[in-house]
Amino acid sequence: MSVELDGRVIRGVDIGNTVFVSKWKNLPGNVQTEALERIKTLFGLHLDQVPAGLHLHQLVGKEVQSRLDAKKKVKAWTLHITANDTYKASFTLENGTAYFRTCGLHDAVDKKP
Amino acid sequence: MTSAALAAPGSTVMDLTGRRIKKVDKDLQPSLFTRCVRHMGKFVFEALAVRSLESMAVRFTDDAIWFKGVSTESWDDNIDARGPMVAMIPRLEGLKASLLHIRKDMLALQQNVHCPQAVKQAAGHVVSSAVDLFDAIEAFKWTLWELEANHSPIHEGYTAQSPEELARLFERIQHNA
Repeated sequence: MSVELDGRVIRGVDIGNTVFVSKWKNLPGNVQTEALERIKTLFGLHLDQVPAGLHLHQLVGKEVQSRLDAKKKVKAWTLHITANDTYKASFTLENGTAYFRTCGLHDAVDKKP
Repeated sequence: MTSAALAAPGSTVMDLTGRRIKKVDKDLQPSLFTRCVRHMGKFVFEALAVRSLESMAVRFTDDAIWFKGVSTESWDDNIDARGPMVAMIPRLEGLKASLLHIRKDMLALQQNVHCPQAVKQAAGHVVSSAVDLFDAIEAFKWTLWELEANHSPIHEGYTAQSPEELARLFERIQHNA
């Protein structure tokens, strides 16, 4: 039996942040359906083994308030919750639980068409 | 901006941001001359057209730098922008929409066979700086959303230990008021 020592395996998902809930409820139904399936795939994944299609990125140079200790700052991550990269969500990973923070439209535009 | 919002921490940053949005919005409304530049089939005043477009590109770059700076400052101060952002987010979306129009016009200008090379090059600079400004505004929007998440209440009892449990939690939040 292997022991996960670095706290980077996702064993739980928390959606208690009221901002996340509010934003989730405003997502179109088809986006919610797709996003739920993508978030479900996080269980048991090590952060270094998240599929490339989820576009997992750490927020560089930006730490956020810890959910477990309001006095501490922790790293935050974003991932794309739809395959067309139109929507993304952010979370912190603390003691194996991904605490989702917010979600919404992710606009990007090319310099060339 | 209400007096309550002004009294809140970070209100100076939000106040300055509101003013900047107003300035950028004004810059994005084309003057008669730039409208002519963007849509003219023939370019009689090539030098003026180039100058006008290059000036626009410089303004957009300046604004992009500004929004990147305010993103950093807001984040570092962990400002509570929940009040001001209600009105601010739609205005930011308006700026992004205007920038997309300008990008589209500049790309069309570059395809125009009558367009002198110098004007095409200047149009390219506008496209590049408009996209940079678009990205900076989008990043600022997400900064505001992350700050909102920092300051918002948390409901306990919404942790799932399995995909099935997660699906039930989402079902629950969807049906709760």
